[in-house]
Amino acid sequence: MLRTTTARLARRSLATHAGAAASAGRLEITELSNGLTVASEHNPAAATASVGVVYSAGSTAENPYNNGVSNLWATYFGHGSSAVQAAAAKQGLRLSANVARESQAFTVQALPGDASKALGFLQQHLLAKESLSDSDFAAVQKTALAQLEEFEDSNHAERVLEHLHATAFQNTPLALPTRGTLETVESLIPQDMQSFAAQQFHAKNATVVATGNVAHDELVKAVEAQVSLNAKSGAAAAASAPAKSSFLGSEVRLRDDTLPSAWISLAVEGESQTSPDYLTAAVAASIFGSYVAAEPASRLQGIKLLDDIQEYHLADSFVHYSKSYRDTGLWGFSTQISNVSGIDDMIHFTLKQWNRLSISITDTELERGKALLKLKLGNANIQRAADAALLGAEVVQNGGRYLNTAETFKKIDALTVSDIKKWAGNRLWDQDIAIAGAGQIEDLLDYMRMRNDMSMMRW
Amino acid sequence: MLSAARTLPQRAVRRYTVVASAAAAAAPTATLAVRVHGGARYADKDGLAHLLSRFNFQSTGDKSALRLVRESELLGGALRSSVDREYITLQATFLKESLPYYVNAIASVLYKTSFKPHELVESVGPAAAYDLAVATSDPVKVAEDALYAATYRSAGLGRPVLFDGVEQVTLDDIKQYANKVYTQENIEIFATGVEERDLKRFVGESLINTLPKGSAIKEAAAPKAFAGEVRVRAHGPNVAAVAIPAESAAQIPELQVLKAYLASPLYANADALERVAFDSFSGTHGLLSMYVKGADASAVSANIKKVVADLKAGLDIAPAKELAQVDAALAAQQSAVPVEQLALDKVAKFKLGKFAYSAVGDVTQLPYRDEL
Repeated sequence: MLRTTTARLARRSLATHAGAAASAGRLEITELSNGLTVASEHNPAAATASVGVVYSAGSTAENPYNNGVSNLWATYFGHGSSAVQAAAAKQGLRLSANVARESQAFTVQALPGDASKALGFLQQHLLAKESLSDSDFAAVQKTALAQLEEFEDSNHAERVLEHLHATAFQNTPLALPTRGTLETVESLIPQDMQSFAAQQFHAKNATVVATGNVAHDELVKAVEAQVSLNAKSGAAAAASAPAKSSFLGSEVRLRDDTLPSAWISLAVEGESQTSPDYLTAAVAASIFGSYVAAEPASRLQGIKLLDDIQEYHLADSFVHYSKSYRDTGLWGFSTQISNVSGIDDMIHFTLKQWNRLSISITDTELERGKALLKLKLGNANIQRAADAALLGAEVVQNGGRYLNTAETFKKIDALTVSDIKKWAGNRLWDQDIAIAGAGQIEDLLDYMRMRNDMSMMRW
Repeated sequence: MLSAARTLPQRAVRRYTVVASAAAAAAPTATLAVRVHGGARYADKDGLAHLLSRFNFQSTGDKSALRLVRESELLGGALRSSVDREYITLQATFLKESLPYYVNAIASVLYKTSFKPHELVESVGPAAAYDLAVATSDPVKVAEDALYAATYRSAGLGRPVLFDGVEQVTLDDIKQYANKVYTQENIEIFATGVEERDLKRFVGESLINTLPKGSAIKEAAAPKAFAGEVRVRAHGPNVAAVAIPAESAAQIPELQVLKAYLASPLYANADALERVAFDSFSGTHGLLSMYVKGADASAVSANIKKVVADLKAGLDIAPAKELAQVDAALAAQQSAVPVEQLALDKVAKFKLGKFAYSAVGDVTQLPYRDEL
């Protein structure tokens, strides 16, 4: 097998020193002639090696009839006490798997030097697997259903985000929940897993990723020797790519007065992964950041919105996000509110603060947002060393655009107040919103009342 | 900046440890952790260590809590203080170039926190109460505290970690405790992603170098472990839990491997266990705990009996050695403070000896220790 191209993106350290670890954390990407991509970040000081395969097909590659099938593959590989898990435990390997909207990752964590063993394990138990036996399928389905039920009953914040996607991107691929629903997962049959794998799990769709203590050249050699995926022609691969997703202002309400709080998420259409404004949107979200009422330090943050919230305890917590996908994105916030008679105030004051992004955001607020975004991106660097799935998500979804932190930091530093105002003027001011709420949401005002808060008559 | 201009005389012998690791040298962020032997086991009153930990990063002689938060967020950093049975840990994660700022921030917390009376009432008290509310709503956490109480009784390790108001703690108590534990002999400084030379220089120039001298209060000898039982009536899910004490350093690797074994599919009844944990103290003693949880008390009873029967019959845990090593390596990689290396050569079979037991929930329906 021949390597066709080798791209090396050197990573520069921001630290005041150079030396021993100068080569650490450098992203290297090699494309093999069979279409398989190998990406790694080598950190010789790391105590572990993480190797995985990431497919650029997540829940958007499913359809309403086989929704949840990726979740079944992830459950098969990464959860519970299945035969795969037992086999891994015997070899001293830790497995994990997760499904995102546009990718899914299967990773193995091992001691340094065991990378090739981990790769062999992946090949034997996942890549070479075309289908599950009926009994294995039943066990996997049972575990997945139990996890889904647990998720529906207790993880309200995430549940609301899933519903937010479902309403914001209704009738397009991004609307499908990553885990599937109880109904769809229950109706799946072994054949669904097999046909999904046949359609999506091929070399052109796959990236082998590694982080931690794995040298790139050795990884490439091991991949060439051990990994074989079914190669699919380019035309057939293109045919299986999901349709375009689009945003629609709308709402979904899951009122349940037996729950102790209200969980609400509200968003406008955000930036796509390839958008030139990706970082602008991320900085804008970081300006409002996140808040936890129970943490004293969180209450002291320099977020103007907190002045309004704290006096009447309008929210227990909130977090602003900028999520990006292939064609579109979501920019907004999620909040948990136990003072349920204050929901209308919480939404009103938050949206009034969003208005300020277009008209009166200050330099200090911008600098704060930039610094916290840089901290977040820097921390992600460290987390990636232990989990190749995170590198996979960056490479597959963002094309590795933001992996060179030094360069990304320069771009963040270059943003000005007028960039933020311009972005907010186009994307936020007087734009349609998508809303999802669960729990005690009687006081969540009607759609138009909230939509009207997206602009104001004075400035 | 800040401390660079100040020239304090360098001591020939530093009494505290300073360890830097360049493991994440290429990353733009660094972590600084100051570990104080001042956890719950060393406090004379229950919950004192928790309140002191919550007082960290409040106002100091140099700056108010508000100013610290506002400066820190502009520099791109986050501060956190946590407490467990052994340590109070002050941790900062930040963009590398701000290392001197965070060394000084933590130093002034250790050296001159103001302990203002209103902060105890307005910030520290409510935050501590919240921590307690979160912990008591989790029956596994309640069972864990019960296991420690059953094993170590009222000796240090048997005390609860979180402040619950059962024992009165005053501001003066907190101040005195801070004076006792925040001494040169009692702290260790760790950092990842920075040069050891830089770290030592900044620490040497900071207030940490002028911290009062005291005595190391670290307890290295293993306390007496009892085969006790504690039962807590509570609403919600039922938990039955078993703790196995390590009373010597030699037992620690065995219990580390047992933990990895019980939590993996290598163990046939792994599904029955909600959580398996091992806490090691000073490398000389420790406690392994395992929890069975469920809404149905009879299923919980059956499962805990099954697990204890397996342990009593003896388990071949050798196959989990490598898994224990991976777990230790992963933990070391995620942590700013060093994790002990395992010497697993001698580990082969495990047979249950002394153990403590706790039950939380509908305890009428849950088994007693002597029924296991």
